[in-house]
Amino acid sequence: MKRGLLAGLVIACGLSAQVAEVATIEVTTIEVATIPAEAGFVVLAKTGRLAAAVCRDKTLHVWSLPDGKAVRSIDVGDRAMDVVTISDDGRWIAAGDHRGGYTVWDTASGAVQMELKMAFYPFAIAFSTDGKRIAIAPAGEPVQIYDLASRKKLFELQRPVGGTAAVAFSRDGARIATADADTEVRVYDARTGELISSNADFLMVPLAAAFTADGKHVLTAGGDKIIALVDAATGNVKRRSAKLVDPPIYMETSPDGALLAAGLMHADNMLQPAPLMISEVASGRTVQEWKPATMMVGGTWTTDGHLLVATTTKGAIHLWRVR
Amino acid sequence: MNARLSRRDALLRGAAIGVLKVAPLLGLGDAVSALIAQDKDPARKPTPWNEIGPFYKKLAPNQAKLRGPNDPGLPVTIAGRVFNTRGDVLRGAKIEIWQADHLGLYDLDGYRYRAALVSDSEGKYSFDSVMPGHYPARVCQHVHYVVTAPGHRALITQLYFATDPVFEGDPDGNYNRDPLVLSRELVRPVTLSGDPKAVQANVSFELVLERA
Ligand SMILES: [Fe+2]
Repeated sequence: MKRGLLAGLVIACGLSAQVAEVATIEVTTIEVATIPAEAGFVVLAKTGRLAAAVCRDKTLHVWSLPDGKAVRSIDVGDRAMDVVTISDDGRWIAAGDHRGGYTVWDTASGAVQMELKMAFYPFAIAFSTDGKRIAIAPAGEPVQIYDLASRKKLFELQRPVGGTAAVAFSRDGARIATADADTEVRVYDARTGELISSNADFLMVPLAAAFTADGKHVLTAGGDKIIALVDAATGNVKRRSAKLVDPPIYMETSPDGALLAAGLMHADNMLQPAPLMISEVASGRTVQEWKPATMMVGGTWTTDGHLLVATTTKGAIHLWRVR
Repeated sequence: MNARLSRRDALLRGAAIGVLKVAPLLGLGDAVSALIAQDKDPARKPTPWNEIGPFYKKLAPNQAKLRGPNDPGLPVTIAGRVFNTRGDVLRGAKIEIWQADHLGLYDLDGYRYRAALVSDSEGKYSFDSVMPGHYPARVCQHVHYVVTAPGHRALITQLYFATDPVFEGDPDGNYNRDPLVLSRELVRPVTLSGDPKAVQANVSFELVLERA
């Protein structure tokens, strides 16, 4: 792909019948017409300044936002990336491929900071909030915690049957939560890797987990289609939501800690769009629900309190400011 | 490489040519088991790992009849034995299986096409179901397995069908059209039996666990 051919534009969009629950949506469309193929998923930095995607032109593209200008493109060769993630400040991008190769790049220079080979491709990858550590959940294997500066493995977490579907650090970096394939939700001490608590109330696999802003609770959900508020210290469930229409696969709390965004997966057809729910952390009450026209492929709360959601169509990445 | 294993593989590969076969007098699975039983070396290669997927559900009922009398789809009976890599028969192993219905839909709210079986005194297990459908975002028809036995590492895997149209009759060449199928061994031959008006598919799937 040629650099400099991407044009960014911002379209202010009014209400449509499909998005009736949302007061106003500004749509930023990053035109990627010169890329011969689509992006499977899109990562967004919490600064709201960077977006990145591995497109089917075998290139990791990084764009600045909101102008949609290409700032970097990194050739990934024949590596089929299963998971890509970006640190909150946008400094690092990590990706894991289907053959178990993992790379962390410095987005400013494009340099490789860390390269790892593991037995399997990733189920999940997450940076700590300060961007100093990375948690990698290879498929079916224990979560591995690495220090980015020294490139050293710090420790690994327990080995749940089936591996870990989602992993999250608390904002203060003190705790790690895992949503595990054996249906349990576990909380660990992020300094030692010791298990603090676990919860086995779900019948199905939890697929997403997010700490509350104070790190005292984990909001988690999956195939049970219920969002549970779990006490991180004891593992006890403090609150359960009403049953949702589909399983959440993305969960994140807003910068002020007041709201939870939960992106659902259309279980009967994973390629179809499913709703994004925004609820109050304190009460669990749903305050907003929005169903994009095509499947959500990325999203984040930005540090200034907006919720950005990415969708794709052929040749374009669309960014939606949902809140 | 263990000679017995390559022999078994050769037999199964042979059986997969032409893919769909009418069952001989002796079922294919039985024939394979009989050949293996004659062998002096009891060691077995562990069943390859395959990912668990998002729809595992615990506490499934112990039921071998997953197919209701009026369920649409091709009836299929899946059977096999559970061993460890030393060749010991594993009795009382827990075999949790789950699959989509004939349209490719998983039951998240109940336990349709889900079961937790227990291997018998000969390590055998079997269940009656329907051929799982294809579903979007996943290329191949498959059945999920989690197998656990005391003193052994849990086995998480998936069973695939050599008759899957995705393989176009050539599972050797095309098994990796689904990026999640990491091993050819997990694609099993399918034999047909029964009256032409009531065809029944049969699949043999041996499970070999590693010792803890
Ligand atoms: Fe599946």
